[in-house]
Amino acid sequence: MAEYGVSSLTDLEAAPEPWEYDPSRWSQRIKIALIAAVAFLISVYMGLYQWKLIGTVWDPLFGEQTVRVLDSDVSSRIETWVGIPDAVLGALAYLGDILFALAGSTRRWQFRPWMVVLFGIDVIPLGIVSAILVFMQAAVVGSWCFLCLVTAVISLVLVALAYDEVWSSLVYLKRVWKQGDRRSFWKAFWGRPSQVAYEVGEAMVAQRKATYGKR
Amino acid sequence: MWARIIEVMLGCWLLVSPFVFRHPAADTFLWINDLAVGGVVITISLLGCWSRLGKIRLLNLVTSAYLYTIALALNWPPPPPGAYQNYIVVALLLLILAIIPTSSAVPPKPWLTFLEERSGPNASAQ
Repeated sequence: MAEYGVSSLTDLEAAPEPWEYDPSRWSQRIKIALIAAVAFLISVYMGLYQWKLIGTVWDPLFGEQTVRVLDSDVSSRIETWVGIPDAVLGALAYLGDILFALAGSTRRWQFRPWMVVLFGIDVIPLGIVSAILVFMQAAVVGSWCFLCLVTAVISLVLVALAYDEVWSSLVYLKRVWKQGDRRSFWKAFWGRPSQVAYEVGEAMVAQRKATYGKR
Repeated sequence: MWARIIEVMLGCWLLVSPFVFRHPAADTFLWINDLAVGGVVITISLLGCWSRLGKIRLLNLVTSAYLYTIALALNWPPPPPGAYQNYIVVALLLLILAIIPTSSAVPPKPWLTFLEERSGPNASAQ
């Protein structure tokens, strides 16, 4: 509803340095959401097995090994820590990726850095750690799980797709801190305006125009 | 707005949970808890749709913490039975959703006001 008026106030599609594009643009975020949705569905499927709502899990390469992974001691230990099967926990993490990818304007790297940072934490450190854990499962559990490997690869693809936006937010926050003070940093982080934050954001956009705009 | 709508749907899910998970009629705590928390979630989410009360959505973080706590506290050592695992899943979903602002597709209001004041009273007339 308010979107109509916003475009006269600021360029919501502006590309901040160092990118040639807007890293918060919809096309990229929807791509992330769709890819994360695949991993979400796979995790739900494995979660249904761990909940014993279905009897087997499909695995074209390692056969019975998948079930051994999903019923392993490591897996049941995680379940006693969090209270739900680990595949369901993973599914919720991917759902978090989806929902956090979809929340925010196409200039959220400047206007809602906290949202981008939260999204970044869900995608990048969590994604890398869970991928490492999955790749270690053969060493720890002694079995491979094809679908787990697929979700781990998806996690890494998501990292590659998401880091640019997080980077822009961090560059923006760092400059607000340097050119302003700690107070303006926290204001900028929580999506509150200040003259410093405004100028830093405009400079990041202008810098990019000076570098790439002449083509 | 979509985050609030999903929260309302989650609240409705809690309202039907006693029937889905077939709580025994004698387990009044589970019955009351599902229905009451469902009602609370729906109320908070609907109030959060009103832009002046947008921050009220954060109360669902309290609801989330409550659900997670009782699910584990009443079933120690975990893992808890189905009806309580339902609480944990709902709690984690609420944790994700309650964070998301109601009008998330546009920049936050303080920024809009700032940009409006900067562009001056004539800018909107263009």
